Amino acid sequence: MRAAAFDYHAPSSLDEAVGLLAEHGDDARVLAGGQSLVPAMNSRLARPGHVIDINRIAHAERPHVSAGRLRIPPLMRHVDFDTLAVDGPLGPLMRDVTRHISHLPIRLRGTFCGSVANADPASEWCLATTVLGAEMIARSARRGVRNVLAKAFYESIMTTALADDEMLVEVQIPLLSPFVRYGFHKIARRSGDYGLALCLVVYERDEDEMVKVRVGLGGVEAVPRRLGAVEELLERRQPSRRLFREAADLAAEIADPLVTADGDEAYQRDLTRAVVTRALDRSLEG
Amino acid sequence: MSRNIRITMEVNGEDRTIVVEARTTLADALREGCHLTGTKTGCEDGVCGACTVLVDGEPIRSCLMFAVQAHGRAVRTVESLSDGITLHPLQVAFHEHHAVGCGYCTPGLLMLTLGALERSPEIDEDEIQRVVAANSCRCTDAHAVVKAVRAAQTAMRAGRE
Amino acid sequence: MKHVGRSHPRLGDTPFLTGKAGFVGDIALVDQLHMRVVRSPIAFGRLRGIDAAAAFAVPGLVAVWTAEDVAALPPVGFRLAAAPTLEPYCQPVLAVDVVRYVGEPVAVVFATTATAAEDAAELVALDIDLLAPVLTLTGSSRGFEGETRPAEAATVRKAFGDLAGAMARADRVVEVSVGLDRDGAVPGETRGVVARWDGGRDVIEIWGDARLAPANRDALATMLGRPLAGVEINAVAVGGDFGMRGELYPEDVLVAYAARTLERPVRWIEDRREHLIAADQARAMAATAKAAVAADGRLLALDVEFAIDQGAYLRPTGTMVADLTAAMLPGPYRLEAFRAVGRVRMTNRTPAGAYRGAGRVEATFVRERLMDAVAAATGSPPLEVRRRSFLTPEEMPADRHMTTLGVPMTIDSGRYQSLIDQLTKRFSLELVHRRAIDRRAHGELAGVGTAVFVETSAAGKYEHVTLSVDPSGNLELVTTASELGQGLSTLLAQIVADIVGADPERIRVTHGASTRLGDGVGTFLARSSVMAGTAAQYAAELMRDKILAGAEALLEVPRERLTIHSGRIREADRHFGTALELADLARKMLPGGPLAGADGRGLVTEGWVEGEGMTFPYGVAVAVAEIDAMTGLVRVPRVFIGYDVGNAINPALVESQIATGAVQGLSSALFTSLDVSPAGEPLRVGLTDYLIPSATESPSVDVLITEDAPSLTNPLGMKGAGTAGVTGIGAAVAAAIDEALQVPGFTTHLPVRPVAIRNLLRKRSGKSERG
Repeated sequence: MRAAAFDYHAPSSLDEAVGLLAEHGDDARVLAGGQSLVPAMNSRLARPGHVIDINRIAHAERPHVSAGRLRIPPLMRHVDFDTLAVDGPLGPLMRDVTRHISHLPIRLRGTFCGSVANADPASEWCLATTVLGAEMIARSARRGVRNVLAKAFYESIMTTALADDEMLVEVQIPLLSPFVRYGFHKIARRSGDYGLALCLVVYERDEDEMVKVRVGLGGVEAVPRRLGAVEELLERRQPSRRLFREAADLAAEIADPLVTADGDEAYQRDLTRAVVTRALDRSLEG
Repeated sequence: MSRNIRITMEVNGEDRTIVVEARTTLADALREGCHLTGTKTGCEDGVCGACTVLVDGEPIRSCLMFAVQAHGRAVRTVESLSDGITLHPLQVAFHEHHAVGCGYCTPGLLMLTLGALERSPEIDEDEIQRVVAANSCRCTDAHAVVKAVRAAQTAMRAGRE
Repeated sequence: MKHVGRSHPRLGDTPFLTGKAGFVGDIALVDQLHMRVVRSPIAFGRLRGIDAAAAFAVPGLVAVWTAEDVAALPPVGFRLAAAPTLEPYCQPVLAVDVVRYVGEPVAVVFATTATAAEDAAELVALDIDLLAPVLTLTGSSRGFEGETRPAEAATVRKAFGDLAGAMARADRVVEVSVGLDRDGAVPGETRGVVARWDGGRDVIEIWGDARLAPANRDALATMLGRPLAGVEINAVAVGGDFGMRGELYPEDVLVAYAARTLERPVRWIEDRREHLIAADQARAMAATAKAAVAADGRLLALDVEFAIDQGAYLRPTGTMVADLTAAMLPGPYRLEAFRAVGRVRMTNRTPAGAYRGAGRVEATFVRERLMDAVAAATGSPPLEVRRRSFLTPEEMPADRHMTTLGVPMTIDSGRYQSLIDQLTKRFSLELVHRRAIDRRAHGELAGVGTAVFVETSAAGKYEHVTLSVDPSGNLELVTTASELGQGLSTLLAQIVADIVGADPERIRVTHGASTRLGDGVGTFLARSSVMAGTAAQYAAELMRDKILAGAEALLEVPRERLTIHSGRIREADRHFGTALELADLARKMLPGGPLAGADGRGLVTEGWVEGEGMTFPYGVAVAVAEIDAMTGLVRVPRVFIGYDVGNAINPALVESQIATGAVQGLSSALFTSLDVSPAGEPLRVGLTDYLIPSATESPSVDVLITEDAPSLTNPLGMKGAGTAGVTGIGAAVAAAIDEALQVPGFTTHLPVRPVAIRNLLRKRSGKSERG
């Protein structure tokens, strides 16, 4: 398995990178961590004529916080979230999530923005960005910069709102209030596998009640999605096992599952129920 | 900007300059360009980990990195572990704990666990197991590998003191 | 110091630890060509044409071959059990007119780089008319449009006793229908072979797996129309074999033929996708089994019909898997009557061959599932049902009144109940059972399952080794058997070390090179340690005699008073003083010299062993299963295996073989299968789809090795251990799952699909909600 031939470009700036994208359009792919793109190229499922390696762009690895948002640059690796320090619960949440991503060698190379742009339905980061209301900053040489909300960004399996000449140059995630609780759960066959189902739950505690409830489901449908009806059910209610079961049942009912080689529709609904229950349960731990 | 590229990387402490195609993976460049065949390929999908090497000290899949990306970087392969006389503590531990099966995955496991221990010398047994789980193998007892890495960890600690 | 019985760390690890070991992919010859196979993307179809014109535009392309170009080559034949009726099922090296599975070689390209070969191969266009594929054993019995060969390639029948009478006398007849899905060995290294024609010597030199070097050399020489001396197979390090590798494949023949025809070295290394669609697969079978049970719960008879999904062609192993499956069905039980009918059925799937535990895994699963059904039907504990019907030590050796692989089956020795008792005690299995009961009482789905199995090894024929001492005092043992990572070299060195009185580190074991082989067969059916071990023992005994005879003459001390330790010969009662070094002796005993020994050859001896029947080791596998009720995912945290190896030359190596075998068995039970789409397209084409259990999914495996029933077939009493780990796991896991679910007989097929478990639990909770 060897990739089809391509021209290699190693721009040293974002300007140069988007310039190359403008020039080569849909015949070019951006190479960040390469942990999804290179396997696809090795098996020739992907065969771009031009590869734009952004790894030599300076200052694209460290995140920073401004205006109440965590701003994640294009070369921040999964493993960098292990030591992410930001105010409030967002840091622990991201640390929790990143631990579930694949294995050490992949986490050392793979990038956050790469995962987002790859839009795998079972990607941890695609789910997290959806639930956390992230904004994706897309940049093209001709049209400059635009912001796309997560829910508009993921269009279908491995397909995003990015145009052929656009590059994902940053993802911004609003910091979380100190009152936020969260629960993340992933169901997988083996440690480090892509999840069969993932769920991230985020809410604030107001006295005994849950408010601003956000429940996101990944892996089951074509794109990660917030389950509005489940959020409504939980909003302004006191957490309880019984309520969580009710919410999980509702999630299972309203999910629109993909059918895979390993699971029919009923099974996918079962997984949804399980993953939502466990993410909700987890939100009460710690 | 071309399809054939001259690159220079430091391999096991020595600068190597080779010409590769842009599409040549680091794994192939090491094996074919540098004649260091200790690094194996088993899937070219990044899953099996037989090709794991250290790039700038980090254990990565050399089948998922194009050789051009290693230009100017420091690469360490299994061949660097021993001077031919003394074995590295990890190599000794793998031998003593029956952690070598057919030996095909061994170089990858060695470089994976070396990289993990160099990053985090004090990782616990659970964490070691998770690290080892990154590479697949059909004929080595994974628990023997974990035990070997634990033993090597102790030996490496003693060596530092 | 005695070496046999010690857990000596493996000899020869260093090259693997340092990256120096030479696997086939590490060989690069000057001026070599790279072969790439163009494979059928269609499961069944008529091959209308092949257009390779576009491929010739690729720089570096040297040749493209289709069936016409290799018309001189016959199909790949049989290593075992050839029969004229089977010939229509042999695979042509390149497809002729018809393609019969996705992955079948249709054309090959040769280019100066591997990349160019890949670039060219994907430009070879195939024109194929689709036909309706037959993909399952239960599929339409029509199908195979236009095929002249019957869909059932062979039928294996084995029987003894009065089956009808036993059935009539039975208190009850218990029946199960069970099966296994396709799986495969899927080792770390894919297949590969390198060949070069040495025009100076007119020899085709081949590097690759040499597990069956003599047979493959003979087969290749015949196919290529050469004398045997015109083909040499050289052993290389092998990244996992498990029975899948080593058998002659079409690709091997193509590489050898190309090396001669193109007069350039040719190298072929398959990629992982090719491996998963084109290397031998195994296991797929379905069976209906009946047990006649007496009123006191004892087994009277077994009646089993099974079918094996052979895929599109027969492999060199012929009908071996079906034969062994049938023969191993009775297992450890006493039977008055037995009948097995095994059907070797063709499908449009990848050809099936042998895979670690071939026939025994299948037979054990069928039989032990049936025994659990008997337990459920009679309301008896599963272990009690088994105990009642075990052959007892007093009944050994027990004639099974049938043959397998042409050898009469006599179970040489066995203490089955004792092994279960020892395993139970050693690992406090009572407690393990009680814990599962407790957990079920708390609403968890946990269970424990047990399977008892009989293995077979040392099938076959003969084995030959040569042992020599060189003038530096180092020993070399040359054997046909292969080191495949199982530690064979270490075992053989330990055996020789004890007898000759040398350190194992100074014994080099050379294996597999056809150029240096005497007569031998190779490695299969867990036979190496037994056959080569016995041959090594004989050679070592002769060597000891020779050494002592030489020393007697030199030292003028009667040999009865001499001992050999660590390569030093001295008087037994004198710990100090002069000793004769083996090296000195070897120099003085050089061939032709005055002390060259009776045969004049110096310190060279040979060991020859002829198959004295098979040996039948046995074991017990116990698995703990935990089921996640919400997802149907099964976890097996612990496995216990008891195994009687007759004589454990190196206990740690045996344990390691068993532990890794157990994980492979677990893999087939829970994680891995080689599924296809309704059109016959493989769905598991990479290691992201084919889920090999990792360190986190591997259970802790506790192994008890006993030496209670030494084999009577060889002086050391050895029995093989290479397949022991894998054989019982599937059946044990199935039983554990049934117990966890409290549904006897639920698990009829492996791998267990989480979907199936959820379907059951959903139905159950639906009922309880309504009720």
